[in-house]
Amino acid sequence: MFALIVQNSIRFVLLILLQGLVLNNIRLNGYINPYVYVLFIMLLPFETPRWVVLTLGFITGLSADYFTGTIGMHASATVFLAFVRSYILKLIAPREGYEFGTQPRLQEMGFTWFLFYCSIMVVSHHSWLYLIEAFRFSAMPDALLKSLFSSGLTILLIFFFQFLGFKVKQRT
Amino acid sequence: MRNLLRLTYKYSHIGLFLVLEAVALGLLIRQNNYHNYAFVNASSDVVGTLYDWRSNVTDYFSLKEQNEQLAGTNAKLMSNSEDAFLLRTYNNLKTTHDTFYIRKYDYQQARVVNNSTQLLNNNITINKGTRDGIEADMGVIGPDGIVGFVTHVSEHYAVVASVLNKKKFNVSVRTRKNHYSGIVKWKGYDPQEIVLEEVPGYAQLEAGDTIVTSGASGRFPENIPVGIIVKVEDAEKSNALFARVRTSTNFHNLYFVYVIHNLQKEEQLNLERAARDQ
Repeated sequence: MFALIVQNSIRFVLLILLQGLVLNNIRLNGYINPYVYVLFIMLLPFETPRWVVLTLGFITGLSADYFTGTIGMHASATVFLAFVRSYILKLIAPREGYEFGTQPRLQEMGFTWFLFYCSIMVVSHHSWLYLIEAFRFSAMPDALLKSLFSSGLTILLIFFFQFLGFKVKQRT
Repeated sequence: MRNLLRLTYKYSHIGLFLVLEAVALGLLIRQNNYHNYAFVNASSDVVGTLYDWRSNVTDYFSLKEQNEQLAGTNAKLMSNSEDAFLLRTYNNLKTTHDTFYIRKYDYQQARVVNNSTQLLNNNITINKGTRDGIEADMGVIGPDGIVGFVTHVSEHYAVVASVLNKKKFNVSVRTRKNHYSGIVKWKGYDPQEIVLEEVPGYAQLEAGDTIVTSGASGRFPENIPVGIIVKVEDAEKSNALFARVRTSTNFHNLYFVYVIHNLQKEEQLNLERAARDQ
């Protein structure tokens, strides 16, 4: 339990700093930008109570907002993501349910499952994020296109990080 | 009763979701208030310091480019300085105490510590704040042209709404050749393209015309480059023209900027206010 909390706290700090200081500067083609910090919400253990996921979602979003100067925008998207997480997990649960103590990671759940999970989560987060931004400035079709491209990049990066973690685990 | 309790427990997460979402959206809407300083974060000293550390590292990767930009600015300044000109005829006259000119603008150099182009409202954080005399509403230019204006200031940092800030930024401009006036705005998406609007219908714009600041607002001096017209389009409904303009500043690599202090701004504003109140 304690080890889990430490592990997740470290992951939180690393992902937020990575997002705020490095990934916010990618700006492919001027406006395609990955938001990999959602990985933190995705990787919380299956048994995490819903209210904890929601609260953590709010904190994660607010921290990301702090760097982009858009207080509330990322927070609203991550709270939404935290809310739909339990439903998505139920939707794509394996037939025998989730084993106790496993985490929603690539190496534990397999490639296909993780691809499904990752795609649904990232696309719902990014659509919400870009729609919220567009609602303030009314350019919906562009917002959807933006969210689609950015989702692709985020999913690629998340897989990259997951494989990275995989290799390290195998060697030790 | 027990069933009711169980039901409340079962759906409590929906309630929590709604509450948190309301808080987030509330914060977002509150932030639209221009003068809401409490939540303006990028200029806060904590994140500012983090950005400072980062640019201390990343600046090394672009030293060559930065040097070229600075050397370019130097060359431009040198060719405009007094030494570059000769007095043609009056060899026997000497300048002693020249009161013919008074200083109107003062420039202060600052380093860009954070920069974005992917949002709809992009801001730049610079490493100069109230301690260095920066105030809100001051104009900011880069080596190639206009960059934005200061919106928020903390002790050591300031946030600049760049040209790529759809909500806050617009500037009155004119064409360098024929002095047609207009307004420049960003429409989002392409960080290299802005739109020139509110040009009178009789104006003859051409692709390749240079757009410069008109100096009307007092934020910027006259003749600071803004961009070059790429394409002229007719707006059907009104008899006003608009044109696509390529920005002269490349917002992707912006390292040093200059904050403009207009020493006569107070005077201009007071006069204009007095005239309006009459």
